[in-house]
Parts: sequence; C-alpha cells; structure tokens
Amino acid sequence: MTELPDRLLRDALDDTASATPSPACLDAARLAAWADGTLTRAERASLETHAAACARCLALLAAMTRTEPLRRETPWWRTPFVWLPLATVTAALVIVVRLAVTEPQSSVRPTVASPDAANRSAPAAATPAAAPVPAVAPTSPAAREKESSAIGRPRSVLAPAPTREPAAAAPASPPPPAAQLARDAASVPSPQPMTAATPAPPAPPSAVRDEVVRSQSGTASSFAGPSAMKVAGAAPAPVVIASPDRESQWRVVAGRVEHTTDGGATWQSQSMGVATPLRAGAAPDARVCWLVGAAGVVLRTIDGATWMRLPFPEPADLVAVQAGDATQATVVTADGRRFATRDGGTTWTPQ
Amino acid sequence: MCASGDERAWESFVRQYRPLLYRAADALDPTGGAREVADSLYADLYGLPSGGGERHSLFRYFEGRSSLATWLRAVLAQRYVDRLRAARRTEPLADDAEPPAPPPTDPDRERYVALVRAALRHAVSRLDPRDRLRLASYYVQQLTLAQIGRLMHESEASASRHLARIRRDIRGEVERQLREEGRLSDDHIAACLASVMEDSGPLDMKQVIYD
Repeated sequence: MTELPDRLLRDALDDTASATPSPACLDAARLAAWADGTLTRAERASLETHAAACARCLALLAAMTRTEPLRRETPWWRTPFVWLPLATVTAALVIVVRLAVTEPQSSVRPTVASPDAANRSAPAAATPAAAPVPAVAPTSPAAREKESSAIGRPRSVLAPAPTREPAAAAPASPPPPAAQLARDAASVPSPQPMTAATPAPPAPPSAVRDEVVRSQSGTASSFAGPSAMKVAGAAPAPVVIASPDRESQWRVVAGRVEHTTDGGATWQSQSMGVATPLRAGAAPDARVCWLVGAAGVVLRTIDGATWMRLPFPEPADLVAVQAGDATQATVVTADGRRFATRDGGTTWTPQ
Repeated sequence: MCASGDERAWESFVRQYRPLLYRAADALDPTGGAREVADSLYADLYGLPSGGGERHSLFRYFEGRSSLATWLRAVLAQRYVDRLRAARRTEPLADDAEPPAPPPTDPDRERYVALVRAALRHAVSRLDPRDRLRLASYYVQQLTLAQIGRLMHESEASASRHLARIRRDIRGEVERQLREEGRLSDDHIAACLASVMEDSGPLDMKQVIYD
C-alpha cells in the first residue's frame, strides 16, 4: 500500500474518465493534425476537452508526445538574428574608428606632402570641419595667423569672420592658378561696391578672393598690395592683424585694440584715443600697424605701442587698408573709392 | 504512387520512413514491443490485394492535414494504444492490482481512505479540462514536465507552475470536502490526512496535500 496516495489520485482520474470510445474520439488524421498544430483553435480546444475525460484519447496524446522527435536545441549562435545587434554595434564601432583615423590624416596630409601646401591649406584647416584637430589646424584666429606667418608673408588685417567663412569654406574647390592669383593680387579691385562696411553687409567678392590670394599664393612683397588689404565687417568677431613677425600681432575685439608679442599667448590692451569703430588693419612690420574705421579714422603705430591718428581728407567710412611700410598705405572707403599715401598719412591721393 | 503499388516509390518510402517509425516505436516501448506494430503497419501501408484483386492501402486515409511523417506516427500510436488497451482488458489479473492490504493499525483508516478518495474524485471532477489534462498526463500517463509542456504547447516551467497550482487547488478542495461532506473537524482532517500520508508513495500526496 505504499502507493496508496498515488493510486488514490490516479484512481480518481481514472474513475472520472470515460473508458468507452465515442464518435468524438481521435482518429489518426486528427491526432496528426493536432501534433502538427494545423487544427483550428476551436478544434484544438474541443479535442483537449475530450481527451481530458477520455482515457484512450489521453493515452493517444501521450503516445504522440512521447514519439515526437526530439528537437535539437539550437545553439544561441545559430539562432536567427542573434548576430544582428552584435553586427550593428561592430559596424558602428568600425565607422567611428575610421572617422577618427581618417580625419587627422586628411588634415595632416598636406603637411606631409609639402610644407608650402600646408601653408596654403591653413585657411582650410581653419574651417569648422578641421576644428577637432587643433594641433594641426589651430582654431583661434591668432593661431591661424600664427600658422600663416611662418612663411614670412606680409601681414594683413583679416576681414571679420562672416566674410571669411565663404573663402575658408571653399577648400574643396581647386585653388586658382598661382599666376591668376598673382594677377588678382597685383591689380587692385576695381571700385566695385564694397558693401562689407555697410550695416550687415555681405563680404565683397574681391575681398573674398583677396583672402584666398593671401592664403594661397604666399607671395611676399615690400608693398603689401591687395594681400595686405582687409575688408572689415560689422560683425563683432575679433579681427586679427598678423605681422611678418609671428610673435607680434594685433586684434580688434569689441572696438578695443590688443597687442601680443608672444604669438598670442598674452594680449595687452592698447589705448587708441578714439571711440570710432575700427574695421580693418594691416601690419607690414612687427612694430608698424595701420588701422582704419568709420568717419575717416586712420590710426598708425610705428613702435607697436603708441598710436597716432592720421589726418584723412574726408569723413568717409574706411573698410580696408593695405600697407607696405610705415609710410605707404592704401585705404578703401565703403563706397569703393581708394586713397593712397606715401608720406606716412600726411597727404592722401585718390586712386 | 506507393498506394498504387509502385515498387520504386515503395522502396524510397521505406528507406525514408522506416527509421522514423522505428524511432517512434522505440519511444513508445523501449523494450522493442512496439516494433511489431510498426512492421504490421508497413503491410497495411503497402496494401494487400483484396478478394477482387484491388489493393487497399492505408495511404488512402491520409488526408494531408499534417505531414506524412506525423500521420505515420499517429497511426502507429493509435495502433499501439489500442493494442495495449485491448491486452489489458483481456488480462485476468492486472499487474497493477492492489496488493493485499496489511492489517489495519488505525481503526479509522478505511474510513479516512474512503473519505479522501471521494474528496479527490470530487476535486478532480471540478477541474478545468486543460488542468485535468495536465494532471492526468502527469499522474496517469506519467509524462515528464517537458513532455507535458509540449503536449499543452507551453514551456516546461509553465507546466510545472500549473501543476503546482492544480495540486494546491485539489488540496483545498479535499479539505473543504472533508470538512463539509465528511463532517470532520480540523483535528480530524489533520488526522485523516496524516493517516493517508503515512502510506504516501513516491508520488507525493505530500505535495498534493501539503504544498
């Protein structure tokens, strides 16, 4: 009687189950359909209800279950799509790594190919795309000017940032031939309207081209020529004026002029004596700098520290200046007229 | 083609399905007793000519609601179960007949057993059909939890949880029956179940009662 409880329960199940076949009992076709799962939900429910109370059909279901071929457990690595997340993550990592590797290479490539090419690519390196690689492409204007000064080109005042960006943003297009650039540099732009100095003006195309000329030709001249001329804008972005000596630079920040003698590490504010907004400047020497602004303001320093306002024949807004030395300079008014001096600003001659 | 007597088709069929049928037969009876059923099945599938010379193959009952392999397993299972049940009916003494009862040590034991048996029968009759199917598959057909899971189209863990719940339900119903129908007090119910538990077999009235 050791199995009494088992027998009691089994007996209870047997006693309450029908032992006589009925029309509802399973035949082989329905049994096979049940095993393959091809019965409808209602058919399956009906079959299970019957089998629960029918000893024979319960035995049939049990027999079918026992004879069911064992399904081999599919290894997890053979499960469909199990590799999809892993492959996605791997692909993303590969893309990130490739981007991280190719960006520095593209920035370094010109330097490796040719130092001159590297200098030519300095403006391109100053584009936002190159910004993540500061060691190769300095992002600050001072650093960019520092880079360009390494080739000993005449320094010039840079146009405000909004007018520089189009030029800097076009590194992908092939640079114009050097001869063409030289011609552009030698010929002062015709008096086309230089709207850069007008309220919220776009940069004049000539000025933009000039920026490209300066940055790509790398030619030096005793007279700065167009390469030293900068068009100023009304934007408050700092205007950096680099000199041939990379250690000595000026910048105009919010109307104030600052000077550095250590390549931009430290800046000293300088007193100008005028409240007029300054628009452009040119530094043909480490100690000589010309600045121009609204209302015919022309300022010059010849020692790098003290500034003197020079007389100008009319209160025109001056938007650009190019300087050859402490005595020779050419300025451009907002309406495109040009005035030159060869006596340190004592007299100005319309061009 | 097999039904029409194509020899090459028949050979191909035998080559392909004989291993499957033998594996199924061995699963039904590991001692090899079901292989006889499988062999006899081949004869019916091949079809013997009737008196008029026309072949009658079992294939004509294949309706196509399942795969041929599953249908063959179903035919084998049906024949094996029917043969087994027929053999049991004809056996004068079943192997699982209860052995002679030992001398009762508890004067109330027979009464307790009768009460528990009636309470169990009542509890089982109240089960949901699917729960009853699970319980019968476990206690009567002695399927494993994994097999019950396959039968019920659920996981092994789900089958285990369902069985545990069914046992709890049965226990509660048995206690209620003993209390209400048997007029037993709580002390008597405890004594009744303890008396049954003393003879609990490997199965687990303990689980049924005390889970």
